[in-house]
Amino acid sequence: MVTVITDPVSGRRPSNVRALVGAVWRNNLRLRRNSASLVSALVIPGMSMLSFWVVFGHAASSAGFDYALFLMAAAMFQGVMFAAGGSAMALAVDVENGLIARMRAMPIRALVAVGGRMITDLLRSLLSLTAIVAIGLGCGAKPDSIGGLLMACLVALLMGEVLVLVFCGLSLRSAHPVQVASLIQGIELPLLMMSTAFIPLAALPDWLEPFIKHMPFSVMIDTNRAFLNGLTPGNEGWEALGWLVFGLVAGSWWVSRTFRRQA
Amino acid sequence: MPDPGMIVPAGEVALSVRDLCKTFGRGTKAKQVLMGLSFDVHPAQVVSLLGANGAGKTTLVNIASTLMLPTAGTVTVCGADVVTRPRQVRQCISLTGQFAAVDGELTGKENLIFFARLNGLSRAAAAKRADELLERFRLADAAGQRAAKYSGGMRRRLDIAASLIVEPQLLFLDEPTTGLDPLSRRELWEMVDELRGQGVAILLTTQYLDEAERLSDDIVLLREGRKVSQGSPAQLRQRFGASICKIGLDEATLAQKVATSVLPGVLGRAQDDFTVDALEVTFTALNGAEDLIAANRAIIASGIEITSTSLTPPSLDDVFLGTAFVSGTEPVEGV
Repeated sequence: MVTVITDPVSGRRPSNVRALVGAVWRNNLRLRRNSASLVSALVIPGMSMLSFWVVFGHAASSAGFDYALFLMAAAMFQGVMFAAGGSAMALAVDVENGLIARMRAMPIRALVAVGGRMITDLLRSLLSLTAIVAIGLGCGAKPDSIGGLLMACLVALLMGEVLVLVFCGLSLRSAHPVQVASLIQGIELPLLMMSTAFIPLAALPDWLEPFIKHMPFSVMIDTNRAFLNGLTPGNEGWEALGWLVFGLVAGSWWVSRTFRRQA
Repeated sequence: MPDPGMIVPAGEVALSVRDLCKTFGRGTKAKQVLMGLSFDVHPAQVVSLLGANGAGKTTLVNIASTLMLPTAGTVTVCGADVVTRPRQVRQCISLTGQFAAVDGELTGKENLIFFARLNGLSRAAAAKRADELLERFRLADAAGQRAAKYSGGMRRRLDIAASLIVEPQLLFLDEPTTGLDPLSRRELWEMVDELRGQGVAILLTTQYLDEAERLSDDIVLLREGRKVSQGSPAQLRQRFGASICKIGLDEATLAQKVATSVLPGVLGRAQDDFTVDALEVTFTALNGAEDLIAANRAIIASGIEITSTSLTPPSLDDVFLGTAFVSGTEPVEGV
């Protein structure tokens, strides 16, 4: 005689799809109730973009430079980065209060926990991008085409997903996940400043140029700018694609392993 | 046709631990926290791991619930090895850790729906199951309240309810009553009784002796990662503790006489083994009731009248303090 372990209510074996839907439902409930998270998603990247535009916009316009469009690509990236940092913090809190340990002892796939965060992060990033595009257009940014704008958004969203994987993996791996998540949130802006987000490559010192040019954030942002300006991304585009594919594949593998890591 | 990966033999041992060792760190920093531990938990049985802080209780729970790898030895849950078939193990178990692992931002009902969805229930089935559990754990009135506002007892009840969305074959309760008020503890004990009655095997870790005594069919006493002994509360008392015999007399001088001249010779003990407190003589009855009877007969034979006599069995505290903390206690084979 054998006993089959099944759910006594529905008579089904655990379903990872339902588990994933449940995780997203819970994350979204929390997101709706967390006003700080909504402010971070909807207001801060747009405010940051607006601040740069107010200070430097006039000078750039005098030189015939569409600084609003230039900033829009950076703000998009900032938006998805903040969303990913928020996801890492939410996951870190789950680790510290024992929810992740409980989930690890359940018969669900490793990616349910992180996948739930990725989907929620996608929704939050979409909200953020909507606000950024609205503010950018309000500042006078003129994307070359709707298609280019959508492609730029797509690149930003994919980069956001890679960042969620990396940040969540770092939080899961640490013995002090909330501290790590705080550190991640703290270094986001400095990292962004070390890219072509707010300053054109030509304005940087020669010795810094090669490093800044090829850092992943720069190639993503420059690819976005190419799409927004109606240009075909050159080498940056391929570099960006390489980073995205590598980040998504390696990140998923790494996070799965980290989630199921047994000391 | 059942999936062969999901079947477990019925009636077998729910948890089997054999020669389990766990070492943290390497080289000079290596710390061995479990050393050759072996015991079983059967269906409808509550086995308690009793030991001081650092005895290895939580490490064992973490290994058995697939959160940690053993260094040596084997652990099987419902016939599945925790190292080679962790997915099957996870289908048999529920884990309730030392701290209530619920989401404070969600209401009680939302928490249960969330865990039900993680367990693969549909939205409607999850809501129905959540309502059932809220009712069963007397949380229905607070179903719409955020868990962060719950009292410690309510949070713990919600935590355990979440573990029972799909009733497990083996439930781990890691110090479940720590920080609970007496009423909540009693309620939790009743719930453990109920689950045992339903055939669930339960591995309980606790530092509370009364809890271990009240709930356990079997107690595994741990000291610094080793099993010091195993048995039912009564067996452990019998094995490690000695009863205390008290004999009441009419006069203090008679009590003194009994303690110095009558009993030492009869029981073959030194005078120091007997304590006189006013009209009462107290001594440890190493042979239990036999010592009591022999002492009473000798006193009566010497013409002294006894006013009261009693034999108090050892408490589990005596056993615990005598085995879990006292350095140098040798491991004893369990029954």
